Amino acid sequence: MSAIPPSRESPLSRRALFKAAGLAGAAAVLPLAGCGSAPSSQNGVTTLRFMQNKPEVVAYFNRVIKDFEALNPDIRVIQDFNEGNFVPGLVRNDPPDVVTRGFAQATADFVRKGVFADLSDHPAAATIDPKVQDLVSSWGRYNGHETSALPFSLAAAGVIYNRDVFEAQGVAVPTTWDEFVAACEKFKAAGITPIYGTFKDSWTLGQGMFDYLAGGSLDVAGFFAKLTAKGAAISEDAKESFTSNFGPVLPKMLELAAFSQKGATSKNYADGNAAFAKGQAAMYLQGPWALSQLVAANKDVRLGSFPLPVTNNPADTKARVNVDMALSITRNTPNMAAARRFVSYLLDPSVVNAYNEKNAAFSPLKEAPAVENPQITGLAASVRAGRYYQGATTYFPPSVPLYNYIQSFVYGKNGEQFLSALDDEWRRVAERTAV
Amino acid sequence: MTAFPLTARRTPHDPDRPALRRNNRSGREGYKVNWWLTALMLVASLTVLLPLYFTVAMALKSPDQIGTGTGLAWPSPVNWENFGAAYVATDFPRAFMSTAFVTVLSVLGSLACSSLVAYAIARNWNRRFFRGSFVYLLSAMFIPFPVIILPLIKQTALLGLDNPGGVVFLHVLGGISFNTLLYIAFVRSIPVELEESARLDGATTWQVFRRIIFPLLAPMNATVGIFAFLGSWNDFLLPQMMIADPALQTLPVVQMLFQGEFNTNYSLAFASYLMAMAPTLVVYILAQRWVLSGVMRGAVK
Amino acid sequence: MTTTSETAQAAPPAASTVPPKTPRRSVRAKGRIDPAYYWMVVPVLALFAFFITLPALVGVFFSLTNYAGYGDWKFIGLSNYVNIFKDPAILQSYIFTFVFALTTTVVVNIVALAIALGLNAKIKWRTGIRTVFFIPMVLSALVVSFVFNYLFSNTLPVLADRFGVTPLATSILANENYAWLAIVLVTVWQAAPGATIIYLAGLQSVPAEVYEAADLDGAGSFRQFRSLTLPLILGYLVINVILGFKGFLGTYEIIVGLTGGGPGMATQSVAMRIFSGFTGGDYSYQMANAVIYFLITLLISVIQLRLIQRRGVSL
Repeated sequence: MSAIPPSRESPLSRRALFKAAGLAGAAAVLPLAGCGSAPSSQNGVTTLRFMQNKPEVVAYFNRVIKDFEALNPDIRVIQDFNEGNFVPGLVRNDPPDVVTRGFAQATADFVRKGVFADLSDHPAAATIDPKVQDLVSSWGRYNGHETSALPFSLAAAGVIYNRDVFEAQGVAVPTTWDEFVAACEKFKAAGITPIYGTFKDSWTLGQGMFDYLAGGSLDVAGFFAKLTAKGAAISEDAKESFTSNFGPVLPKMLELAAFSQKGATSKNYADGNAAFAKGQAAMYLQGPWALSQLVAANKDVRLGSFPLPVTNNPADTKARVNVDMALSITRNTPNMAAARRFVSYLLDPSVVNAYNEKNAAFSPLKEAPAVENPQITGLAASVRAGRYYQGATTYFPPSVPLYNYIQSFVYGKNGEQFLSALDDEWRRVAERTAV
Repeated sequence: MTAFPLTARRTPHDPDRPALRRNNRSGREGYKVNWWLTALMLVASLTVLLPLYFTVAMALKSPDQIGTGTGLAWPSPVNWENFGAAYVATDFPRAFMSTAFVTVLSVLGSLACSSLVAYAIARNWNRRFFRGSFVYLLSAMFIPFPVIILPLIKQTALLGLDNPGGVVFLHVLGGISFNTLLYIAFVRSIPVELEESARLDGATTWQVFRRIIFPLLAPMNATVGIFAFLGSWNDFLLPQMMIADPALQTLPVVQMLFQGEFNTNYSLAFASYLMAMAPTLVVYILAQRWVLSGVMRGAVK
Repeated sequence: MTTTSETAQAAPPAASTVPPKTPRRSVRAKGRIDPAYYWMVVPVLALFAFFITLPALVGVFFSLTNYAGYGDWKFIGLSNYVNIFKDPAILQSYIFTFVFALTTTVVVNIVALAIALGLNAKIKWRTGIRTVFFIPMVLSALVVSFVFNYLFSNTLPVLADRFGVTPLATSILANENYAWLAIVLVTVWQAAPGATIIYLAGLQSVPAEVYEAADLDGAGSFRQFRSLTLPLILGYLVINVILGFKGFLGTYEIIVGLTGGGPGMATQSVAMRIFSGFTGGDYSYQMANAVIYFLITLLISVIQLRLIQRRGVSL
């Protein structure tokens, strides 16, 4: 039990605080008063902690939780958006009961260490589109067969474009790289910034031009599978190295960067949203999470999306996807039954589909309704056909300052140095995780 | 290490000794204002005032008013809604109470623990145990926070201290080196004779401390108090990682909701910056005369 | 003993490095001690040992394992340390951190001394001005750097554009060569008041008579500063340099708020690398880095102290 019983009566009253202090003091005197995992229930009400790390949907989930609690009076859910508390939670053996994270290398590490419970027997698991579930499984499964996370939201990202600007210039959505470049040239000639760049936030360079161009040029998942299999024995001239594979991606990155506005290096994501919403550029390399922000900045803006064509064969064009939210239950939660009920509720078609519709993402369910949001219909065909890849940046362990390296390359244009730094970092991480 | 320079004061120094003439060159007599320098200092103070003005102006703008300008213009009309939104989203009263709880107890704990330890050490400097204790406590100044944090989280959780109470413990103990350092020098400047007469009247060591020493430490208490207050109120990392229950989280942590790299609403962000700055500013301005005189007298003696 | 000579003697606090052996009197005859003194210290020592020393030792132990911060781990000896020394990114972060800390220490002390001299001179509205100058000290470093981030990225470029100063029209934070100067600037903004206080304390302990005598001798302001003020406050300078340098080596929040270690790899500080261990599953590796960092700061501080001790009396 934690030292402070979750006080149900009110949001923290002064009395509760003093009570907390008293308990804390008592706990310090009494040896080992705490014990990790007793069910956190009081008066028959179980309290769940739900960790959710997307600040823009905190308010949305508070409403979802309220609905859930109305239907399940014996469960109370607290939303925790302080992601920095997740590892500490594991350390104190008191992690949040239900967790949603964007699915990437960092989350996969938790899966590999067996942090999350097996959900393969969860009723909702059967309702998930196997293609989407495979995106999660492709990172590896605990014990080889467990299902550690159920996808909740699939974000497909490409090029967001301003329909008014495209129509005014008579530009159609490009389907090949040459058409894309021609469109950029046309905007440029008309005095319109082709692509709004937000280089100051290095992650936007990573998820945007780096991931799009890498995903369109090579088999990212296959590349990283081979690289991982190779372990620490990777050298720069090996055929699995970044140096040997990513070469063709780099000139195109610089080409895209050159189509950005003057002063893109001073602009961050927030600036970009404000400027693009006001029609200051034709295109914006962002995912669906930006759409609601763009509309918030200008409710009249007419937007669309298309997957960035990277070759001149339209059949090669793919969208970048990521499992933006995947639900997991921590393995040692004392509130397993309640946590499973909460996950069931979240994955109920009415809840999960509503969330994805509202947030311009794709529902992971087998029987997901067709996407009608004109902002993302341009990506729907790729998603339906499974013509997509998970971004190359998501395969890196977070200990590699990858975005900084990408930014360095875009500014300094030294491709050789960039790729050999990636090879070097990858090898060093592999070496130290191998021991 | 026994000869840490901050503690080395050759001469006992009675803070209340009136005859001690400070170099207060603006003293009433012979006061001739240097207007050029005053003007220069006023201009220089703009480096502080402008960013503050800017923060306030930004916090009072609507997203439309921010636009692409410098942000320096005063908004018209003034938009107070940001504060309302930030207030609701952070559950401000609750987070404020939690932060206040941590801060008040940390200040009181720092004052009590550090002054007691400093008194005992200063009065027994000739004993190896006390000298050694001092050097040992100084080690906290060098241990990097990341080295202790994860094991600490484990320990505090085992004790049921994964809450604001635990943060208080750590704020007090983490600041103890520096605070003790400040106090020791000051205690040395208090003549032992003052205590002896009380002892002759039958006072115990505890009574001597409470009735004589602690009141005399007043200027230093102000200094230690304000630093403990600031350190505790503004701390982000420790509460972020140590407090398990999100409902007990402190202001700097919940305010990160508006301050991350994915935040896109500047006016809301600035409102939350201002709400983070305001309490320390208010406390400082209310207490500054008193605090600064203590800081000046006590600083690093 | 006149007050003048007493203060003058007391002025440079670092001058004598041997603490005074206050004469012990009847109350504490050698060998007998009031147990109350132990009660004042021992509980705090015990808590300190439990809450600071014990976790520090455990942390150091983890640097010898492959612990990710959670899950299982095994002992791997000095591997992490060996790897740290082979990691060019880590080396680069140490170089950046040292250059940054040195520069900042110099600038902070120049600025703080100038402010202290100004505040100590015959100026009008001294209390008000002083209040303003000390404000940055009370604000959270993270929040301050967010505010300056906006100023550097939006306000300054727009102003520069308007007045035709093209070199400033792109944010200094976007420039790999100069972004660190912005970090220095904000750090100075935040840290100067603390150093100013210490200088003010020093200046106020310089007795007015000294200056009056110098005035009679007809010494100019600069000569007064060089031959009178500076020697008397040298001890305070030393303190500011030691404390400041150690603090600036640990810079973290201001960099996070301003550049996040960028652009590129330009402003990755040691502390940033160490903190990356908490998010990256790279915990034990960065613990080894933290231990090395700890030893380096300790070594530097001890060297500084020794140097001061050696030259002690002449200060």
